[in-house]
Amino acid sequence: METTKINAPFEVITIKKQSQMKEIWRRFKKNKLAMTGLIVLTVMVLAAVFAEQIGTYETAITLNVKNKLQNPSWHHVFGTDGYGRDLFLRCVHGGRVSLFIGFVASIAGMLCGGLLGMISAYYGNKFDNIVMRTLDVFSAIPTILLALTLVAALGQGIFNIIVALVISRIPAFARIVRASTLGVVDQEYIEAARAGGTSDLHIMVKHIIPNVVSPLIVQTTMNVSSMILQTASLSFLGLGISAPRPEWGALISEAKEFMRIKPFMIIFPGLCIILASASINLLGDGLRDALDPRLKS
Amino acid sequence: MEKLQPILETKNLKKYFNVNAGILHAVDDISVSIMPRKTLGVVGESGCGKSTLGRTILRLIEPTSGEIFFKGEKIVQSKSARMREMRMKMQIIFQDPYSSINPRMTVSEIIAEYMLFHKLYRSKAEVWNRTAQLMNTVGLARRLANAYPHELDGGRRQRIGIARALSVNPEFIVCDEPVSALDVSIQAQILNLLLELQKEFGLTYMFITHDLSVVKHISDEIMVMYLGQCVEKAPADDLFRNPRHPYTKALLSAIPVPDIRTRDKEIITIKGEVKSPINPTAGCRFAGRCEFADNRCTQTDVPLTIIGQNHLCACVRAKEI
Repeated sequence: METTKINAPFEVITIKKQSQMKEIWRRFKKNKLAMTGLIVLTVMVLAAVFAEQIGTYETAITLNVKNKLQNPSWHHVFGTDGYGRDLFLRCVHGGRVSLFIGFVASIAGMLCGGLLGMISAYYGNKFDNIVMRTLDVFSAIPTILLALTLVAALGQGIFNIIVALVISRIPAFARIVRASTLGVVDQEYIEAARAGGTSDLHIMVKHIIPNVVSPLIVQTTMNVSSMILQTASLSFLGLGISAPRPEWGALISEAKEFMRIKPFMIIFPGLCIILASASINLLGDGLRDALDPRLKS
Repeated sequence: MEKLQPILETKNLKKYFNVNAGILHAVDDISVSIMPRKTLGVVGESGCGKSTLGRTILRLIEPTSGEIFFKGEKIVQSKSARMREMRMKMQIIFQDPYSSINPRMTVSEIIAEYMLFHKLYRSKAEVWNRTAQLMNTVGLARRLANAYPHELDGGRRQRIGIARALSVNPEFIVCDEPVSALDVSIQAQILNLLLELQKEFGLTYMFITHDLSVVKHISDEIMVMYLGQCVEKAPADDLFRNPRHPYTKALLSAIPVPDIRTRDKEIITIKGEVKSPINPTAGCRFAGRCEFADNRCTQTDVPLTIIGQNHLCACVRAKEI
C-alpha cells in the first residue's frame, strides 16, 4: 500500500476523493445516537412517503361516527378520534404534511438566510448594514404574527405556509451565519486565497461555507421541529392546513377537547412530533461531528 | 546595477487607516526597490507597519497613495482580472501557520488550490502530480497528502504555506515573519529551506521580521522601519557593521550574543513608549525616545538622505553620532 502511494502520487488523491464521503460516513456510523436518529427518521419518512399504501387518504378523512373515541386496540393501533377516524392513519398522513413543511421550510430558510448572512458579512460595510437592519425590522415582528399576516395576505395552502415560515426564519439564520462568517473572514487563509488570485465565489464556496456549516446544521435541525410546531399553531388559529386534512399539530389541537377522557389522542401525535424532532436533532449533531475533520478518531 | 530592472519598486507608498481617533499612518512614504534574486529584509518592532507594507505591495490592502511597480508595470490601478494574473507572480508566506491554512482542507487540497483555480494544468492528474512534486520540494512526506492541518506541527504547516506559494511559480515572495511563530529549532530549517528555494528557483524575497539575527542570515539589503517610516536602509553587511540611525544602533546592540565574555556588554536601551501612529506630528518620530535628539529633530520631518554607498538614513545627526 505504502509503496504504491510513493510511486503514483496522483493516484493517492484519486482514491482519497472517493473516500471523503466514505470517511464522513465512517465517522457518522460510529455515533450510535446519530444512527438511531437516522433510522427512526427514515422509518417516519418512509411511512409518510408510502402513506397511501398503508391506508388511503380517503379512509383517513372519512367520518365514521359510530366508531368514535375508541381506545387503542389491534384494530386501531392509536385508537380513533372524535369522528371515528383511525388515528394511526391520520398520524401517518399527517406526517406527510408536517415533515414536508418542516424540512422544506428549514432548508429553504437555511439557504436564503445563510446566503444573505454570509454575503453580508463577506462584503461588510454599507451592504452589511442595509441587510442586517432590514432583517432587524423583520425580527422585531413576532414570528407568529408575521406568518399570520403573510398567510392572510397570500391565502392558505401548504406552499404559502412554507413561504411565511421561511420569511420569518430568515433573520435568525442570517444572523447565525453572519456571526460565524465574521469570525472566518478575518482568518489568514482567506487572505491567502485572495493572494492566490482566487475569486470571491471560490473563497465563499471553498473556505467560508465549510467553516460555518457546523452551527448552521445545528440551527437547521433544531428548526425542523419548531417549524412543525409553528404549522400546528397556524392550523390551530385556522390559517394553517384546513380540515379535514390531518397534520400533527392540527391533530393535537383537535384532540384538546377530549384530552381529559382520551389522553392518547393527544399523546400519539405529540409522540410523533417528539420522535421526529429528537431524531432530526440527533442526526444533525452526528452530521456536524462527522463533517469536522478535527474530530476524526 | 542600473541596467537591471528591479523586480519590485514602490514609490512614496502610503497606507493610512481611518480610525476613530484620527488617521493612522501605518505605512508612510516608503520607497523601495528590490532587484531580482535579492532579499530585502524589513525589520522593526511590532506595529511599525511591516506587515501592512507587505500586504499593501500585494494589494491585499489598497494603498492610500503612491505607486507600486512590478517588473516596471504599475499595479496600483490594475483591473482585478489583471491583478489575478499578477498574483501568480507575487506571492506571500504568512506568519501564523495555524490560521493561514484552512482547517477543513487536506494538505494536498491546500497546495493544489491555486493551480486548480487558475487551471494551470490540463488535467487534474497533472495538478496532483505537481502537488506531490511541491511536497517533495518543501520537504513534506508524501504520506501527509491526505492529512489535515491539525495533525501537523507548526513547521510542517509552514511548509504547506510555502508549497502553496510556490505552486503558481512566483518570482517575488513576501515572507511575512514566516518563522516567528515557530520553535527555534524549526526556524533554522525553514530559513534554510527558503534560502535553498531562492537559489533553485531564482526567487526574490521581501523578508519581514522583527528578529535581527534572522534578517542578517538571509538578507542582501535591510530596511529598518519605525512607525511606518523607513529610518535606515543599507546593504546587510554595511548596516550591521556601521549602523547610523540611533534606533538601528539600539536594535543591533540588543541582539543577544551567546558568549559569556560579552555578558558585560552595554546594551543601548530605548526608553519611553512608541509614539502613537495616529495623526503623528512633524519631526522625527523617534525623537521622543532618542538620546541624541535636539530641537532640529522635532521641527520638521527628517528626510532619508544618502550617507554612504547605498546607505540611506533618516537622521539629522547621522554624521555626528
